[in-house]
Amino acid sequence: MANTADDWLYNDDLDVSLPGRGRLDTDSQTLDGEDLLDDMLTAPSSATLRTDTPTNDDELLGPISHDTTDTIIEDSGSARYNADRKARTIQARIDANLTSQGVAMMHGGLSIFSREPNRKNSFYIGNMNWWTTDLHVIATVKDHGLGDVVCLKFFENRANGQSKGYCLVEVASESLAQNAPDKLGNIEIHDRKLMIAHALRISPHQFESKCNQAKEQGTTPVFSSNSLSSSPGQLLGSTGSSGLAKTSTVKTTLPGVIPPLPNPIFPQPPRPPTIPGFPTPPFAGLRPPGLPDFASMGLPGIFPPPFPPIPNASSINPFTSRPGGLPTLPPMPPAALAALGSAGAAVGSDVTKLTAPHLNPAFLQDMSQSGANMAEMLAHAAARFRSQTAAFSSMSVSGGRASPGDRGKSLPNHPSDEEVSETNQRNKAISSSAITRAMSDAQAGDYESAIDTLRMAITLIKQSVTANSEASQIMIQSLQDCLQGMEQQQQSSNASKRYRSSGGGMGGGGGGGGREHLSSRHIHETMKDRERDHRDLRDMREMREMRDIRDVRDFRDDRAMRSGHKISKHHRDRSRERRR
Amino acid sequence: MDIVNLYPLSNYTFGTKDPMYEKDRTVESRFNRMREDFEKYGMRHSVEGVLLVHEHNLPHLLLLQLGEPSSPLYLWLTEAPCYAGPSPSGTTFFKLPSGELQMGETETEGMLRIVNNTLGREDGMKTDWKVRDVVSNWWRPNFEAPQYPYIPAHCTRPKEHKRLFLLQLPEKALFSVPRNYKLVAAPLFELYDNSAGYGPVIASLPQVLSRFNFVYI
Repeated sequence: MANTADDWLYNDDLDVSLPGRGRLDTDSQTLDGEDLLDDMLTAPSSATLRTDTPTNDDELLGPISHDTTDTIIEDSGSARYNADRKARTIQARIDANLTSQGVAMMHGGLSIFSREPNRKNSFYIGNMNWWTTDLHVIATVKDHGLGDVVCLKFFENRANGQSKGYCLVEVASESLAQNAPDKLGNIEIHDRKLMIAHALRISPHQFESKCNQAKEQGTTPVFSSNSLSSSPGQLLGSTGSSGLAKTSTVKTTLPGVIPPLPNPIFPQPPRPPTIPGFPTPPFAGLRPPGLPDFASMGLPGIFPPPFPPIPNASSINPFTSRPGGLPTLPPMPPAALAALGSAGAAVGSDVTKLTAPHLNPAFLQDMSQSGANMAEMLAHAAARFRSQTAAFSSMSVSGGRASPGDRGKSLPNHPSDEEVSETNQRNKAISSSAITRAMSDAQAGDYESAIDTLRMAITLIKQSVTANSEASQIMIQSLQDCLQGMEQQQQSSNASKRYRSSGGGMGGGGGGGGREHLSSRHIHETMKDRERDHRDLRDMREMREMRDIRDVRDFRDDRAMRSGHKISKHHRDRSRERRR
Repeated sequence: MDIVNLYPLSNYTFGTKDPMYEKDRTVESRFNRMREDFEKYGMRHSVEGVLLVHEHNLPHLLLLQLGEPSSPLYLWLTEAPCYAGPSPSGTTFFKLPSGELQMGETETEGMLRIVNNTLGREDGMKTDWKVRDVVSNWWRPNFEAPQYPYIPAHCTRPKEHKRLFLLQLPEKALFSVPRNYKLVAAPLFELYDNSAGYGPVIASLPQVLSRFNFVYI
């Protein structure tokens, strides 16, 4: 069969107002309104195409006119005539693309769909039927003196595309929008009284709840055995979807207006902070060879491919900028721990409470370069790690929820929450260990290395992903205080050795005490704040997850997928589709 | 391009007739009979009819609803849950007009026979249905509920093969609905992605029917 409905698309005589195939709307645009249909039928373009390619003899047509909608002559001898006319009607519809696959091009200005309505000049129209079309809305707006619609957005059920019965209409000016409730307040479309609202943030919610209510009570087209007493041929009710399947009700009550919440876990490839003077490979290479079990991660995110760790740093397994809260702390090879022994345990214990000691091995390497005692460094780290492991394993999990946005700063590269918290923890470790180190060096008289240590730490923190965060700033500040003190000490090399290695800032002379106390408290408080933030954020995030059911489903499916559980193809396809 | 004419729901009138019960009252008996038949006759061939009307320029599918409503008949519209399976307040279930082909019967003959038995009028006049295309095929690899739109690779002897046919309705008609069923017209968006509510066969009909060019008359 020839493509009767498609021929017009390829015909060169096309009127320019007809959009090309690439811009076909997928919903059929047949109109119920008489006046608009009339406009359509008189359009010359659709009429002139037929003469080229008649499909079969019965349907040879002349130009289409209004006559096709005339009453059929009932004369007995004109059955074939009637059939012809009816065929012509059908063909007319096909030509005019009043079919499921056709598109009616009534209005020019398809630009009304191309962007979001500007709220200032907009208002909501609600309480419409699900079949009330955009063309109806445009016509109504125009007919009641509000001018042309500049922009239009319908609110739909995500699951099946059904209209929720309300839309946001933008008109030419704010004053017109303000007048809308007056002009349209008492209008009915399809026997439903319109509800007009200003474009305030809470307006959609009232339409949502209305939409949900309507679902519960909507009539369905049913022709039961007893329905003869009620109206046979009962037409579809307002929603037509309510009683039919409960699950669709559940689905459609998803608040579509609440904008999809940004998934706080951005699956991102890890980005190690660039450190001047350090080769990036050693840094990047330090993914732990044995990544924790994905199934227990329970987070939708992609994980960095495991890089082979470089040999000299294999003793330390930091997790650098990995998305994913870790249920277990990085596993330290027992050999390394044993080698380090328990040296320096006392040094580290009164340092401010640390979370997982994420040591920057590049940092450590630098220490070795500047002649620092790497073993001592590691010993500190190991000791702290061991003493804090149990207490902070839960911290790491919850630590994965900090959102950089909460600090009021926006980072240009938007790291994931986990990256942020990992980085923060690492920075903390760096700063405290640097300070400790520097102090012990200074105590030993080695100011050079102490200063270098501190400088290094400052640079590292500044380079990190969370450099702009409050905590990092505090750390940098305390490190700088320490550095200054160190330099002063260096100058007056007859150090009075008054500074206490409490892990706080250094102070020269007598005035150092208060300041160091202050900065250690600073760090301490920062830790506490962070813990609290982590907890709050975790709760908030859980709440958000629960609210958006779809995300939870995706979340679960992804988790199942990664843990190798078999999820049915249907579900996998669904989630794939959703993600698309 | 396949062009199919659809008429508005209001073109059709609905009456009632005697209840039409399924051959198998229980799920178990159903599969038992299937086993016996398989031994005697081989794979079962079933046909189901897809009848479409339109409202508001959207195709609607006619479905038979079967089940025990929990509340008085005039209230069930809003209250009866419609899962395809057991539910707390009653068991209700949607199906298409369907049946098994008999020996020697062609698919078209069988389809018309079945749909006339189910919805045909009783006053002697014939409804002018036309069987158009096959719309989808489903196979059942075992004597169990699951069925798939393909024959699983390991299975050389499916136990049942079900074919869905699109039926072209006449412009006007009277349907007689058996008393134990309700006839429902479900819009396509209601079915789309709703296999929890209607099962995979019916819920996939919007996709499968999308290839047709429906004319809304």
